[in-house]
Amino acid sequence: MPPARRSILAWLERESVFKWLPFVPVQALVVFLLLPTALLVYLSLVSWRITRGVWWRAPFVGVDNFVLAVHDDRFVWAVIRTFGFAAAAVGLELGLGFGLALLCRERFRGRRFYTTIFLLPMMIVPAVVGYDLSMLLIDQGPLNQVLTVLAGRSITVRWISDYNMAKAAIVGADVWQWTSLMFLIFLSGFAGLPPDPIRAARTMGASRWQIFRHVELPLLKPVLAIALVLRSMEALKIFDYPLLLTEGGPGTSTETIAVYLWRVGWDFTRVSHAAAMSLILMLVVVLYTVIAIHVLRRERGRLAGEVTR
Amino acid sequence: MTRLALLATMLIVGAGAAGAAEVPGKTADERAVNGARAYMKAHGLTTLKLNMLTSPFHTKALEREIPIFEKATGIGLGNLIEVGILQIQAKAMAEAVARSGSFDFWVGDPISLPDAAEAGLARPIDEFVAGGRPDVDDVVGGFAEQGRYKGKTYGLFADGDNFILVLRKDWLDKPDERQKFRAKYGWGPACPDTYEQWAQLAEFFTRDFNNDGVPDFYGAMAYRSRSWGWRWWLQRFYAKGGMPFDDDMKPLIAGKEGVEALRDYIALTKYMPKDILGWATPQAYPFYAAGNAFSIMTYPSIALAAEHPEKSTVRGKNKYCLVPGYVVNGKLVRRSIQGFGNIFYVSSYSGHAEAAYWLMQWLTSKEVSARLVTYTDSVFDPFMKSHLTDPRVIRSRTKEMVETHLRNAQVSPPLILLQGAVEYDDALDEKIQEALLGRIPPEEALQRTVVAWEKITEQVGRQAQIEAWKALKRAYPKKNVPD
Repeated sequence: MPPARRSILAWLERESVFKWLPFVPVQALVVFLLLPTALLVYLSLVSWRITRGVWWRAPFVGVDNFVLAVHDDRFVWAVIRTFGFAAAAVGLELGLGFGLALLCRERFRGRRFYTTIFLLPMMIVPAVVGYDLSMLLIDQGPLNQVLTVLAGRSITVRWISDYNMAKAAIVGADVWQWTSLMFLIFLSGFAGLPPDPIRAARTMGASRWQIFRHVELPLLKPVLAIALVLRSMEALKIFDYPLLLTEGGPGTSTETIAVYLWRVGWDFTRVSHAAAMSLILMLVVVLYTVIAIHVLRRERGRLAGEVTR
Repeated sequence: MTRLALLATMLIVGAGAAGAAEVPGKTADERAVNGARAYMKAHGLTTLKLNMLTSPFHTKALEREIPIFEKATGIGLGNLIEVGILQIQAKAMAEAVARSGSFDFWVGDPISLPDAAEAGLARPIDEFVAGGRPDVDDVVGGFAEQGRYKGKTYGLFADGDNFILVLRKDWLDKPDERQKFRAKYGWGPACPDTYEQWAQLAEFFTRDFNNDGVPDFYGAMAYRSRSWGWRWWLQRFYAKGGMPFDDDMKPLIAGKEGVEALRDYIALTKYMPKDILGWATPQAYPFYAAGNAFSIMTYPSIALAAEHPEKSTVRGKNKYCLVPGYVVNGKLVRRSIQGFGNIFYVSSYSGHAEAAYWLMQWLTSKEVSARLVTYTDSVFDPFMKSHLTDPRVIRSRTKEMVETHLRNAQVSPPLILLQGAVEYDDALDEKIQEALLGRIPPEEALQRTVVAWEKITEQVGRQAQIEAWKALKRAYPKKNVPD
């Protein structure tokens, strides 16, 4: 071994050096996360738009951009609307995903086939889903034609041009694509259930429903909470469907936070305003996540307590 | 002045003069090829790939034509960055921040020019224009002006997108329909002179064949969806004699002209397909080409869909009309708005700006642009006088269409081409949609737009906008009706 290489290895093996080595990737990750966040905070405190010179020479305006953001009706409504979409979509995905996982947990003929089919939607690029749906959901489109055949009379749902139905179309698109993820999480949850408590309950004469209600469901609560947090965070970033399906319309009925932020930042070139809005949104999401994690921890603690008893 | 500074000044002046030196060649495309060859020689290059940003609406035509230029000059297409047609502005602004040089030139609408120029992304091309002498004199109406901003040339015009009205000739020619229509309305039926007449045609020809309460044949079509519909209102507003701002950039849209135009705009919607609020080109063109509507006011590329040899059921059954207008002070005023339009721009961050320019000049020359506008899978529309007599253009769109379209271009006002244009348009679009949905009355929609526009003007800087508006006003048509 060349002496230079040997000395480097010797230096790395020194305890004072070696003990810090595992943290290098973590520190690098922190730097990668911190730098853009610091830039975001900086931009939110200055008055800069892309058409106005370089960002580092923009004048400092303090919290003006935040004040503007909270007084911007369109932003406030986009936040409310997005939380509404997320609540509706995630609720439906949770129910449907859980139901499908419940059906597919036992072995039966064709189980693999159905599992694959249920997982397919989440493998499609969301932008493709949005564009395809814009063609499928027009008045004379295939969906209304199928509904007409099923109902035996002419059905014309104005999926993308009616103020309220457009909202339903956006939620529907999200549910169609992301129920798969819920299904996958719950299927893994069912597969990972400890067999002993279930076997014990069965020995004691518990019915299928009682086992599900009093043994399996409580054990699955952490999985439920994780699925809820993961999907909610994703759903709050909903962008592709409203942009490609409805352009945020009719009116602003499907304009979500991500769509509005994208417009303000890149279309309207008001980067500082967009930065302030992003930070407000980040704060709201962090708050939501902290509450969700707190609930999750409490649930875990309760379960651990029950097992000890 | 030191000797070094003097030398540097002489070099800069010399380089400027060299840039402006006239390139030999009889035609603009020949000069573009010669200019490109000289560029390659001067830089010791044999091949060069340029990256382009465009929307899918233009890709196929450009992919067919650019290899011809490459064969002649060695300059071809490298990466093709495709984004949705409404996302070009966002992508361009991202590049203005990133300065990555990820594309050398791009195809974008005139709306994005003021922002692209102010952000330093669009590169002025006056020096190349002086040397290359592109075919700008052949460009109709005020289109060539739309590639200019604050006295500088930034782009070469490539797509005449002013609106055209198309009617179903076969329905117009039916003797019994003609008789009934004349008996009811006392004129025509024919190409309408006024919006009122168009509404009468729309009312008369809307049909519910199976009496289920839902029309099977629609009297009118135009765009009413988010991000698109506002252009159709603006065209009516211009035909009413309206101008968006006064000399101090105070919005004028909420007056009588604006409100009446918005009322008419909303009223006509009842003769359109019910989900027209969700439609743009991908939905509207096939719907009309399938024979489901009597009339459509839209982009001139509708002719490519309507006259398509395989895909259209209405081929040869269309009547191309001048856009209707309003009678203002006893005189008919027609306005055919430049509803989108596309321009080739050079990126300031390109390492080969001049090479990109020569390719652009070649693409926008009389000869090559005539080929571009004939492709049925792209949407470049005629914009030159020479297109009027080019047999290839006529074959793809009909003589009547090309003549009517270029006559419409004589009264084509621009969109609001000011810094922050996309935001002005979006504010207008949002409020017009609210009125269209019946959520607020037209007066309130326009009043709210005024408030939003004032805010935008203040944010951008009123004085700068006043200057830009003064310059833009020159691009508005002076004629009331085309010759």
